[in-house]
This record gives sequence, structure tokens and C-alpha cells, in this order.
Amino acid sequence: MAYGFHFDASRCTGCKTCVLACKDAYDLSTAVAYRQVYEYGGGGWSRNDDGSWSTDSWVYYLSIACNHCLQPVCTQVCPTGAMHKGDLELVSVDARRCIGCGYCELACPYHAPHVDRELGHSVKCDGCEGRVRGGGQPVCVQACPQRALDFGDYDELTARYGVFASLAPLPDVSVTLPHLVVTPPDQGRASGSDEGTILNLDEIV
Amino acid sequence: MFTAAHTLGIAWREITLVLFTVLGPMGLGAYVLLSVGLARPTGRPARRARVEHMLAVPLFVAMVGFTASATHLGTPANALYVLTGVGRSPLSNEVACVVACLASCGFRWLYSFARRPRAGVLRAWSAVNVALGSLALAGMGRAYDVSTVLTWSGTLPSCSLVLGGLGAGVPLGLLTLRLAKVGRHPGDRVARACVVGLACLAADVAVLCVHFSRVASVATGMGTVAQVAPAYPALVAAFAACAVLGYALVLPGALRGRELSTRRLVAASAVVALGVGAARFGFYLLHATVGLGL
Repeated sequence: MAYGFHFDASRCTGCKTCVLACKDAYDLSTAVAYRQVYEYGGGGWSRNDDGSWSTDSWVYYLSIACNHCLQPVCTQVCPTGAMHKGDLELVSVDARRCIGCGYCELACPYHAPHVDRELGHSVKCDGCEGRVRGGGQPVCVQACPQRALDFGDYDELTARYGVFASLAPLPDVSVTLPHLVVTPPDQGRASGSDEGTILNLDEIV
Repeated sequence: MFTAAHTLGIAWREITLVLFTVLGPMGLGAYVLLSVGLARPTGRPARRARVEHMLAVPLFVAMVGFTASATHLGTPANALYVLTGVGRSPLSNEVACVVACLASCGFRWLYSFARRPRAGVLRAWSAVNVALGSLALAGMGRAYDVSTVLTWSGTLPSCSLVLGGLGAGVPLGLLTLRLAKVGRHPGDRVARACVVGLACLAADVAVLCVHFSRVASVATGMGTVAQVAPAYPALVAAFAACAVLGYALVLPGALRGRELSTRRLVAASAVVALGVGAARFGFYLLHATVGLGL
């Protein structure tokens, strides 16, 4: 069985409770976050003939952590095998093997792994493996006040929510086959769109 | 502006890898070019011996680069595990190729100090080191060929590293010969080497321009690649300028058959290395994954 996340972009308000709950649970420093919330938007303002102004601006949020992909590029490029899949098919780091080269960080299209310079090795979301083994849910899922996040057997998630996950600015699912299902928002753009940009880069670590 | 600052931060963070990918290919390029000559049964034994001993110069340059690369690791103590990824990880392949090459070059250099080194063994070993050096250059070129980093994947970035290594390796190789007191009266070979070296760097500049034109308009979550790395064209221009300036120090003299001074060869090597460094800094500046682009 492979675990995955469902993210409902039509519900998310970008409050970042998921980010903070994760940072709190794992005592992460300000330089590290296992989950990020991206504010993605575009459009602008234009002046009408009568002097009034109108806008076609739009924005939506994506709460993204490691998607424990079926074909994770981080495990492919990792020179030591520290980045690996365990028996629950969750991708995690073996700190005893990791050299902290940062190749996983450079290659992951979901910006999931990071090299913690203080610890000297890569760190990332492990799907709250300990909580999951105990029958619980990841802390981000439990914390979300909008119930925009879900976690479970990927096949069950796709049966419940569909298979869509190619929402801009995420890459097309064919790249790494992420165990992620996204419910798109009304203004959602498909992967590869050049209509918007990430608007909160200074909040991303 | 923030997106440019973000990629600039990535490039600065990888500055030791910039050093590695400048000095490593430069040293290996010079070593390979000199070894091609040493693999042939020509030249007086005394002259050959001086060159054999002075091969420590390009080897040292490559070793400094390799050492610099290790400083960016979080836990170098786990480095032996890197060999478990050979065949799977491009980085493991690179490290294995470079280590094998440097080890073979190092032991050959030690053997050249034997009381009676066998000429046949040295020549055969040179041929082996040419193959290992070429493999190491190719391995370094392919190290970041990963499909999810759209600005690094493909043949062109790999070719760029090899061309830069050969182009920067020529002045370093000439400096090595000069320090070995060989080539005081340079003939056609030195002039030809300079022309080939400059041609490699010209080809490198062309490769970088073609690569940038292909990826510049690709959209990521941070904007197009051109918006993410606005300084890239200026860095390639700086590389081209340094290449011309560096070879201007040696090429006219080489074409006229004049003696090239040590000082001039050191300056040419340094200026060309600076130029290749600008190009390599641009390489890390250009980092952009598919999708988010982070």
C-alpha cells in the first residue's frame, strides 16, 4: 500500500496552520519547513475608457510537502542511498548515510528535501511515519482548520477525489508520479502555465 | 527582483562546487593533454622525466578542486557510502570516475620517481590515464544531468564543462611544460595547442548561448528562466572576454615562435580560469526545476 496526500485547493485559505503545526511537532528552526504554502497568482489591473479600473487578478494557495512519489527523483540522484523508501513506501532520510550534498534538494521538483546545515544532513517530511504506524494522521492533516488536507492509501484517495495533481506551479504528474491528489480551485491553471508566479517567495524556506 | 536574489543565493551557496568544476576539469584537461604526448615514444628521456615530475602541477590543481568540493558536504565522514550509488546516481558515477583517475594519476606520478622507471610502463600508464581523465571529465559533465532540473539536463551543459576544461587546460599544460624547462623554443605544436584551446572556449561560449536561448522562455513558478537568472548573459560575456584576454597573452607569441614566460603563462591560466569560473557561477545561477522552479 502506498500512502499519499489529498489537497483541496478550493478550500485552502493560505493560513499556514499546516506549516506551523509541522514545525511545532518536529521543533524545526526558522530555516527549515517540511511543508510550504505557495501563493500562486497573476493578472492585473487595466483602465477602462470611462476612466474606471477593472481587474482580472487571481490567486490560489497550494500546501505542499513531500509527495512520496512513485518515481522519486531524490532517491534516484542520492549518491549514498540515504534517501530511500521504507516498508510503508514513504520516502525518508537515513541520517547515518547522508553526506548532506544537497543533490536531493536541487533535484526535487516539489522543493521537499532540505539540507539542515546544523545537523549536516538532509531533512524532509516523512509522512509522520510514527503517527501513521500508530493509526494516526500526519499532524498537518489534523491541524488544517479548513479540512483541506487528507492522507491515506493513495488508491482510496484517487477513488474518492480523482487523480488530478497537475496544478500550476506544480510540475506535470508524469515527471515523478507523485502520490498526491489535488482538487483544483475555480481559477486553477494547469501545470506549465506561464500566467502566474509564486507571490510569497520571501515566505518559502 | 526577489527571484533573481533567490537564484543568486543558490549560486553563492554552491561556490565551492564552482571552484571544483573550474579547477577539476582544468587540471584534468591539462593532465590529459600532456599525457597524450607522453603516451607516444618521442622526446629525449631527460626531457620526458622533467615533464613526468612536473605533472604534479595539473594534478595539484585538480586535487585542490576536488578538496573544495568536499567542503560543501554536511557530513563528509559518510562519504564512502557514495560508492554504493555507482550506476544509479550521476553524482556517485562522477565521484567514482574522478577518484579512480586521481588515484591512477597520483600513483603514476610516484612511479615516475622510481630509480629506473620502465619507459613502456610509463607510456602505457599514460594511455590509461588519458582514458581515465576523459572518463572523469565526462562524469563531471554528466553529474547534474537530471531530468527534473530543466536548465541543467541535456547534452549541452555536459559539453560545456568538458570544453571549458580543455580550453583552460591548454595554458595550464603550457605552464607545466615551461616549469619542466621544456618548450623554451615553441614550435608549431604550441601554436596549434593554443588555437585548439581557444577554439574549445569559443565552442563553449556558443554552447552556453544556444543552451540559454533554448531554456530562457521556459516558465516556472518563479517566472521564466530569463527572469530568474537575469545576470546569466553578462556572465557568459565575461567568460568570453576572459577567454580572449587569457589567450591574447600567449597566442601571438606562440604563433611567432617566441618563448612564453612563466609569468605570462600563469596570468593566462588565471584569467582563463576566472572566465570559466564566471560561466560555472552562471550554471548554478541557472538552476530551475520543472514546475516550482525552486
